[in-house]
Amino acid sequence: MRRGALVKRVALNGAGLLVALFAAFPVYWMIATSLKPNREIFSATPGRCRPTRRWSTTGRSLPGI
Amino acid sequence: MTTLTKASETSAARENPARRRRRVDRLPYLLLLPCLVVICVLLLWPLGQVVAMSFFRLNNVRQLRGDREWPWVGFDNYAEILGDPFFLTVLRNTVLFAVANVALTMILGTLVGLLLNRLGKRMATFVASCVMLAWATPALTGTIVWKWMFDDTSGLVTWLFNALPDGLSNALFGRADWTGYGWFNSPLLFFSILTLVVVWHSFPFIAVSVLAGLKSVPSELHEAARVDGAGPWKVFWKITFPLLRPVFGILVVLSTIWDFKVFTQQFVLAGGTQDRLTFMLSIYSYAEAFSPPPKYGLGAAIAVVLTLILLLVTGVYVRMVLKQEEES
Repeated sequence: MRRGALVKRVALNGAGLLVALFAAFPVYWMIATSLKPNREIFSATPGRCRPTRRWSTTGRSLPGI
Repeated sequence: MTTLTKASETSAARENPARRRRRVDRLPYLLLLPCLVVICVLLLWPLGQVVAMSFFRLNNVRQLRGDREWPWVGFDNYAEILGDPFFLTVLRNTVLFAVANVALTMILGTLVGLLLNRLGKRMATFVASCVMLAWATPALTGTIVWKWMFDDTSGLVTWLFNALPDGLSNALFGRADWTGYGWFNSPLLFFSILTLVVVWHSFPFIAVSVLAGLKSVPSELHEAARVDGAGPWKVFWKITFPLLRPVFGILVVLSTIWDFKVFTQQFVLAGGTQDRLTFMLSIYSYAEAFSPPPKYGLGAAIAVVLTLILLLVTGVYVRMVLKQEEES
């Protein structure tokens, strides 16, 4: 009985984490992208997020801006 | 002295209710007036304008400015749309998309609402905050982020599929190299991604509303049912659902209205109005009205048809809910 309750709790919290991941990931991705230099945004492999302080200047160097 | 004050008191008492009633009668309307004016100016006037425009042939922006006259064509615009076989394709797309999205949003939203009700306090707060982030993201911003993730070279999804072992990827999908794969090219895949984006945007509202409803159901009812040997499935359909029927009713109506008129997400994901195969009513109306050559009258007529369909769907559903309430 106690083991069953534990399994249930783990399952419920796991489901909660999955829902939170699904809902918040695009928002996280948006913020992460805003901190990347252009080179990394358009590269084929999403690198680790190394925050740049140059986004204000790289924004102006985008094609068409 | 005492009689005097008493007399004045009674006269005041006699006078007061009448005066109060008169004032109460006028005050609510006075308070409603600013709201009504705003609704008339911002909602009813443009609506009337669209209905009026649908009866004219408007092919030039100068007509909209009032420099040229508007030729009256009666129901010609409507006849042209309803006679076009393409309209049937658009209508089919719209209805299928709305049905699928309302169903998926309601199911996912209800499940998340039930889950939030069962979680511990701290975990529930964390999950609810994350879920509200999705709800708080503007439709345009959220869709652009999803579009990045499905980009054919630098998108996260493309990278993920490339990261799959080649053998597995070949066996499942028949290709190992996903760079340059057009995620939005086939209509079915396009509609799947559109569904994902729309459901992501709209399930938080359903989840939080269902959670608010669940909080108002006394927990003794659930406990009693569980003691009587009912499983979770039975408890939901025999207790939770009947008690929350009005909540579910209004949520279904709202979702239907929202999913019938999806525009922003489709416009951004499709990158404009070139992909006619995946048109739905709202983007069809926009494309007819504004992509050259402009046909404002035709676009307006499509918008009126969309509005009528929505009124019909909502009316039928509201009547159904009212009938059920009378019976029970």
